[in-house]
Amino acid sequence: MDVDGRLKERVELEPELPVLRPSWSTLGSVGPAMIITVAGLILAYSVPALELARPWKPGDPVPFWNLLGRPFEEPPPVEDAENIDAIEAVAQEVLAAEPPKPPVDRPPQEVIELDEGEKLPPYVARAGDDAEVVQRIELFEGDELDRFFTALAHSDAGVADAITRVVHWGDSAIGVDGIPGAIRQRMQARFGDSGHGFHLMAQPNSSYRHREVEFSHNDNWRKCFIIFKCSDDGRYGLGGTTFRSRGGAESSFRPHQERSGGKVSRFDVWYAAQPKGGVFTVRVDGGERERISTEADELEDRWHTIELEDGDHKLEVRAAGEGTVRLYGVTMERSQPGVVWDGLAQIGAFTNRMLELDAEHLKAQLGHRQPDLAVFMFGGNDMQRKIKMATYEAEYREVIRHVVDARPEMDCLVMAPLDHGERAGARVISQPVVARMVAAQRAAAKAEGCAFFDTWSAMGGEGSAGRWFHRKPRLISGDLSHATSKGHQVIGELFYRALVHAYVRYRTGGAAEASSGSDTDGTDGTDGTDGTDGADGAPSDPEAVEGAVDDAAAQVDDGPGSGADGSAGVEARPATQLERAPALGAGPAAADENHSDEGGGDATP
Amino acid sequence: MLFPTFDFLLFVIPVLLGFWALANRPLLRVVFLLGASYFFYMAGPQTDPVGAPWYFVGLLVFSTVLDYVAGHAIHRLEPAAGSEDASVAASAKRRRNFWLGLSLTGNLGLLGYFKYANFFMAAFADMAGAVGISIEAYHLDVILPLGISFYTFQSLSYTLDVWRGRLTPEPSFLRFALFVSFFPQLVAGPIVRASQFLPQLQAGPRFSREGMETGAFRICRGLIKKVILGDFIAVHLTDRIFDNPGMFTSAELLVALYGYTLQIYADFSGYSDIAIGLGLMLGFVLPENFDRPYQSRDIAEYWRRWHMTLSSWLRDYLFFQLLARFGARAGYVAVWLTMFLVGMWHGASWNFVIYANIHAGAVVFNRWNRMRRNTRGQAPAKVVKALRWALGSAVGFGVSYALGLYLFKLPSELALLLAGFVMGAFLLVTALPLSKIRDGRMRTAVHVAITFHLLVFSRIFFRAPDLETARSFITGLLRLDGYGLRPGLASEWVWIALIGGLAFHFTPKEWVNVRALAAFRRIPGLALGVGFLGLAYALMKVLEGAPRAFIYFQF
Repeated sequence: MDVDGRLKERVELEPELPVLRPSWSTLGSVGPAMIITVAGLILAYSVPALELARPWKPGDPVPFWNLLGRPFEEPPPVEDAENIDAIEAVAQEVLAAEPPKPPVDRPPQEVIELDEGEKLPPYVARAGDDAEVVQRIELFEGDELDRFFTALAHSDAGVADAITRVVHWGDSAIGVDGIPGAIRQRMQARFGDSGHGFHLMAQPNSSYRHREVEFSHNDNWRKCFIIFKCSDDGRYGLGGTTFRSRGGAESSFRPHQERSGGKVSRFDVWYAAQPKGGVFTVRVDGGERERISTEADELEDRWHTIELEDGDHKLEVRAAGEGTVRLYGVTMERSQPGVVWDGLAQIGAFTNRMLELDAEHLKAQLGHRQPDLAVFMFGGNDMQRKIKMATYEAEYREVIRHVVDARPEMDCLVMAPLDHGERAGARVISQPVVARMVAAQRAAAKAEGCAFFDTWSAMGGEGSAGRWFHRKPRLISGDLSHATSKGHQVIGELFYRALVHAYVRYRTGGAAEASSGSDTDGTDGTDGTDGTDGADGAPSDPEAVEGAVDDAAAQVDDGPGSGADGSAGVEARPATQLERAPALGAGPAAADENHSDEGGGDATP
Repeated sequence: MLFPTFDFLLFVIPVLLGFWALANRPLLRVVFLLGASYFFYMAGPQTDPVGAPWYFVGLLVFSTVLDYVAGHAIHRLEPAAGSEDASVAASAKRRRNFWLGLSLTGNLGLLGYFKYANFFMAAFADMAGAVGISIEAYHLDVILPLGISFYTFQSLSYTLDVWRGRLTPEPSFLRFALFVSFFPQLVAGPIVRASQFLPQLQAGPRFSREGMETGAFRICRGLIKKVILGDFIAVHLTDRIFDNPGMFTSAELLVALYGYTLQIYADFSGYSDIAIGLGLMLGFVLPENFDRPYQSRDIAEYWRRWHMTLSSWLRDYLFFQLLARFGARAGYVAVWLTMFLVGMWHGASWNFVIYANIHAGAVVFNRWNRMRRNTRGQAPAKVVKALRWALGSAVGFGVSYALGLYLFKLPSELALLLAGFVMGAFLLVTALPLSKIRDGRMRTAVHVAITFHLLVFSRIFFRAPDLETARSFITGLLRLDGYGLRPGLASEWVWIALIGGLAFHFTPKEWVNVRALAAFRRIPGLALGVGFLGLAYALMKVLEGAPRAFIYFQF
């Protein structure tokens, strides 16, 4: 060959030359080393004390698995396969629509005025209401979400000023606003876009990002994040972080023009007034700065509201000195009916960190926010704690009570944590603590009158982290605990479908199934009470479903009790739903059993 | 089969002993090694992700038979093709071309179907969508056969060399089949050409004490690279960051990029080390595949030091052929096309299209930068020269800015920052040319650093699972958020592996290739055996619960 490696001359295959077997001396030090290696291997399997050094143990995949094991292995059980296929179908559908589209504005002519006592227009099925549901919302008594659904029904009907607000707290599972953002986009596309909602004054950590908001801040804010228990007075604000500055700190907020509806008609600046409080300024769209004093005789929560014409606006907030200002965040809302879904991630928080919020402060915060639903999604960090599940359940119940007591008018919903996987040989299995924690959270939700969404089962239950990790694109990240951005979309879709399904059942009294899908694990607490489960004769054809939904809506409209008390139509539900017996679906019942059985165990992963 | 597994240990010791025992029996040793190679291909352990089923070995058999038959058919027609009778020669040439075409179609067709078909269909749908035509791309449910990108190129080299009259066909089908399927390099290279390996198979293995000990050394080195610097860093650092870049700070993303840059080198070159070491212990010499590539001073040098057997394969069978056919004027196009194909060989997605174009563009720039200094002629006036530079810089800046804005979907300020980085690097490279005499260590260091960071940046597209994630990664990286590295990002062992691995890569290669090898060879056999056991145990513990396939398995 020449210098480039190209062949200059034809390569002729020379006749075979005699070959000598390698002698012991040819092997050099390799020969003895190989003997030692083989001897060591034999020793590891001969001496029980050396079990730790055995590279293969009974239960591991058989050596040369691809040839000697794989062809003879049993396929997964059909029941699991069907469930997994259903989840995969949702995932494919969601990922095919990536990137998600911002919500479509509800046309102004759809907004209606509702006089006192006038009933709500009947439910009208919308595209996607009949989408297959993989995992349903569990309603143990049947009415856990009724007040929320009432509010949602008003937004759905386009009643003027009917804004349905949801506060969604959680740990890193909802970081980067991933899951709340995915739910928000779908809810707003379905029920109307009433704005992005709450955003902290600055980032408490790098994982605090809301992609729907063009947001910037400088480094002059001193932050106090609830997970560090850094505030003696427990006043962390709705978002769990309070920000202080003696001057120079700045933040700006603007709805993202491509990733959201891009409009806002009301900014609320959330702050604390206090003795010797300083001044902050607000400026909209680069206009005049308005000065707001935070001086007060005693510490109290306040809000500065800026009403605007609905459109693209930018708010700048600046600490202007004259003392220390203490701010929490900003809400961005629109005056049109729809949904606002606040993503309130507490990255790295244990569930019980919510108890650090001062009760009166929380009451004031929620009193101003007026949410219709509180969603909790904790547990990922608690899995690392050595804690008995009974203790954890009691702790979770206390958290729920702490929040709900601050605003008894709102409903509550617990979302189970995501699956957390661990590697076992070549496989990825669920950490044993996950199932126990889901059971404990279900029990806590039931005991406190909250609805429950089993995120873990929605993902596919046991081993789902492994499946989500192995699929392309990945839905779970390499730590086998946090969803990827695509995973957020899939979980958002799974939850959204479940919520809409429950909403449609609420509106139609269960006369029509919004889904032709299966209640794969029987965890819908309402099943068995009205016989309307899709498997029991609900039409599976989408058109038939829609027709049934319309029929049911008409029945609600005209049926007994409609408008009987002059209230909104949503209260005119058929008796079957109002009189629903305490639901004891397989899921909750099983959860009770699990809980009582497993409660004594440690949550050690 | 994966090298750092118990299965391989169970496999390789009997195979080595058996082959050594049969070394002086020409037919038996070939049959034995051929059987072992096919068993190696079919009988892998359960991996993550799960590989192709055993019966995909049929594709290997197909390629083998096709090229063996085509090679002989082409060779048989060679005398007729050189006939003085024009019609006889033309007919023979046509038939030779037919057989070559059949081999190319068969091999590249398989590769195209299994590796590229889905991407081509999706890309077509994407492009149609871009002009307003909505098409739903059909998706083939196919599994990529293990090592198909390697053995098709290897097998093709035989047909091409026979067609070019550079190689006498192998008379023995068994030997030819062993050339295609030789287990040490079957699934992840090096890509051994027929002209390099068939003569060795014909002549028989050559054993020596030096070869045995050097082979064992290369295997140990490869295992350490693959497991410590490859798998360990991947599992404990890079995978989780690349899966969800939005969750990490700019500094953490940069660390992940450095980590992946080291990881992929350690993973792939570690595999090559093991393959070369096994070859030596079996009495054969396989070509080197890596030569401390991150020490390269420019991108062209990098491709002469990274996956050398692939880049030289494409250089010889494509680049030189293009130059020979179209002349030096087509040099830039030939360079771009060759490097583009080198890039696309690694994967089929829009990410790899970008990756391939980054490398191809950089090599074209490198060629221009080198050529312009060698061009003799009247230098243009200073004003003209300045104007050219200004115009060129403005165009380069604008193109980089537009790519940032529209391809990577960056906010305008980040797109400006990216364009600034790109043009800064290019201007630095052109303003500080490397000269052969007294160029100084500082200047060399600048070029090495720029080349290294170009590679680091391009790894985003290599590793990110899709374009959306790559965009998110770049956005996070350029945001320069100032949050630094958060506690708990990685254990101290990961930091040691990362920093130690990168630092080690920039040490003189003689430290390992000469000094460490000499020290290894001085170790007594018993001590070496204990060392093997210690190494096996340590690697088992590091790998515990996290066995991974070689990155290059997916190619």
